[in-house]
Amino acid sequence: MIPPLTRKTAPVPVQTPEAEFSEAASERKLMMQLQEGLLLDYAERLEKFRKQRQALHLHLSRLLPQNRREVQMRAVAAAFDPLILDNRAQVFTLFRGDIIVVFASKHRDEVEAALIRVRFLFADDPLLDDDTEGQDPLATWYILGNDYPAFLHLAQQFYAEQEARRRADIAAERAPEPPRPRHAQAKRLQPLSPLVLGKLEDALSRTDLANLIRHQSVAAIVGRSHPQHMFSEVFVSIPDLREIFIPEVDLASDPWLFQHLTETLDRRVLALVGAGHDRSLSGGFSLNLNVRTILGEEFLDFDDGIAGGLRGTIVLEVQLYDVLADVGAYLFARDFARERGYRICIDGVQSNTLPLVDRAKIGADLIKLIWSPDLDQARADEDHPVQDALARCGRKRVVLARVESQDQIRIGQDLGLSIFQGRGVERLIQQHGQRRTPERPVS
Amino acid sequence: MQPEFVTPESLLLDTAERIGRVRAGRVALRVHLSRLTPRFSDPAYGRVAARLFDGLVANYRCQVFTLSSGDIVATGKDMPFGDVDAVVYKLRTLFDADPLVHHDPYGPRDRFCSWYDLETEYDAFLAACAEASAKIQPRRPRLPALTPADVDRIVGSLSEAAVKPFIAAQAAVGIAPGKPSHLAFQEIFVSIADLAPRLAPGKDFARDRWLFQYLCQILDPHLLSGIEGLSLFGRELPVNLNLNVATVLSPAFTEFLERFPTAKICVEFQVIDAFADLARFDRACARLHETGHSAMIDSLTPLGLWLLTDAALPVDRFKLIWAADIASPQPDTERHPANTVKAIGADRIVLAHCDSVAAIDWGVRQGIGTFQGRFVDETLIGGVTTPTDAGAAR
Repeated sequence: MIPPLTRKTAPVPVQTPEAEFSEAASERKLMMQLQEGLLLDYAERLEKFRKQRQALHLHLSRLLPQNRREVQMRAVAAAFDPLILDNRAQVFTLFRGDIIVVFASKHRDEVEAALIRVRFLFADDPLLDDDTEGQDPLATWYILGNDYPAFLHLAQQFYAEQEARRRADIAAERAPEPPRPRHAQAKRLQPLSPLVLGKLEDALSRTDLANLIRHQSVAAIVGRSHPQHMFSEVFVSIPDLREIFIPEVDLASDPWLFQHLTETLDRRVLALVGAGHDRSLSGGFSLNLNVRTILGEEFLDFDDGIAGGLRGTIVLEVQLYDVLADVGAYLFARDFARERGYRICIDGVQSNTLPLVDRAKIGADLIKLIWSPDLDQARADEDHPVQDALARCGRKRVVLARVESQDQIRIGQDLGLSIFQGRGVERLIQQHGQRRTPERPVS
Repeated sequence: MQPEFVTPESLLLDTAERIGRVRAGRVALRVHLSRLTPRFSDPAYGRVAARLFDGLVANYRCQVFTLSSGDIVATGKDMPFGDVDAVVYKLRTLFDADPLVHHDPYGPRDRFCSWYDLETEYDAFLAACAEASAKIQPRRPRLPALTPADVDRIVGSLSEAAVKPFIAAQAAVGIAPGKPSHLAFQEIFVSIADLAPRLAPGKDFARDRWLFQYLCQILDPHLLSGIEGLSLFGRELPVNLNLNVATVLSPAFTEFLERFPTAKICVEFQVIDAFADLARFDRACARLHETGHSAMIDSLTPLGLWLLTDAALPVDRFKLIWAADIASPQPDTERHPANTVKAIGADRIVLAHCDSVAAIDWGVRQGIGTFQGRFVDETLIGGVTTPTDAGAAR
């Protein structure tokens, strides 16, 4: 009989005196306090008992971030609680968010029932609709009598992953530079709540955000020529902000609270840029603004500080949903901004919303189309709706944004586009060494 | 009695009296922003409009006054007519969406802008300034927006029991020429107008739209669990629900459908919710259609509807909000409400907030067949529909 394990407690490992001085042993000791260490230990000991055992791997890390909040994870755990309480199953909650359940074959029905509860919890997640490969994307079953080697391999893999992560953390803490922001999915983050949002915004109001402001180049790229810098988008780095102020919170967990935060940040950027601290921006820049902000006093103050001739080099970026939310206010703000000499860019346009952005109606100077793989399909198909929509917007006015690679730039070019933005563009500019506005904090 | 403190009106009157000594070459104009439809009542529009006089201020020392009513008065000496007119023209463009601008522009019945040649019309101008100064109506200060801390407190105080008394229903009627009108559907919703003053007295619940959306999303499950029955006037009617996209994709909605397996549901989505994540919106609509229900975009102005005419949205209907100016004479462009309705298909439109017979008249003339609003409640149905069978009785 395998000694039962609960979810949280770890057996105290027996230590030999020499082992205490060995780094590998102390690492293993640390790992034995983590679920990955416990899982591997358990899996190794399972070998003898594998015939009557099965395991379930729940791929919760594949769910959307908003479905991996603490409350939902607690609900998942609760689904298996009755099985744990009378030792009918062992449950391991891994760092990456996945759950492994090991149980005796005779309890399979109960585990399946728990799984149905879990599926219900995530009915809205696109993962559950995805059965393209004929495999269940949420759950993998292991009949250990046959699948034991695969299962052991899985446990070893999780162990190695977690060990590497721990080593990287230790290395980062010793390094002179601050640790790189961890990937949000890797860590169990708290969701953003109104209370935390209020405290964060309060803290931000007393903080100089200049260090968090970043620029990204919007550049014209024709054929294989060097990118020609057109203007820089100015924005606040959300990952850096998160890392500094609330590393334990997933800022994007609620779309509405996140929008509230970005709106606050956009107003701060407007004030900072308007104060004219950043001389590297003289070549033209763009700002993200809400329609209401353009009509607000902050913008009028900003406008006061901008020399008339410069306005033509400033692009005001407005999100498409903001336009749609109050079309009358947008048309008013657009006509006013145009009258002052600013350029208007509609941001956040997707290939499926592009048909909405009829230039005759929206009347913007630029349209920012977000890269998506279906553009690749549109490239080969003359009758694709994107082709017609691009023609109606005017291809010369479309910025293809968030391009990651030269391939994506090439696809855009094949669609007749010539203005690009994204990490792919940044890399090209660095390669060509002719960047005019270096990506750096405002001095 | 003159107010003792300085107001834009008192400054204007002082100026008007002073310039009476030298009237030659002086003009004044008054832009009647107070006559615009309520959609421009936000003082932000007036502030922006006043900015258009900056050039005249810099070049000709034009003086500009924004009155408490929202009207803008400007006066200056030796200003070329073309320069002043250019400003008025730009103002007309800015407020192009308002019928006031299109009412006999530059003609004798132009109600948007009044011109005064002070050499000959000084007395009329002085009288107008005196009148403005005598009846200052201080604007009611706008209620402050909710803060995240307010929202935290509100969310903590919400419960099914707290929300249930505010669940209300309103019927919509189908009207077709030559046929008797009939009940088309009932909309069941949480009456924010009644609930908000309880939850956040002294605050404007909807002014911060993101926090408002967040609260709506929090309210949705309370609405769904608070609905006890779907009959109105003793009849099962199709039901419209105001829900967030996220709610339709959540287990709470599945549970609701299980509780009312025979119901015919149409979910009304806000346009900002739909477009904040269009892929998710598509999934929500697909889920509704797969289960035999339907989807609608709620709360559209004629301009909002106009912009959506080319959008291949997976929705069945659109709800247009009636306002008196919809029927006002406007240039016959693509943006004209009648043309927009035709482009999107009158049979796909529900005309809501109908508060007068004029609304029904206009709608029927466009071929719209479904109507909702106070006038419909009071006149066609013959009684308001609350207390409802849907939620708990008040």
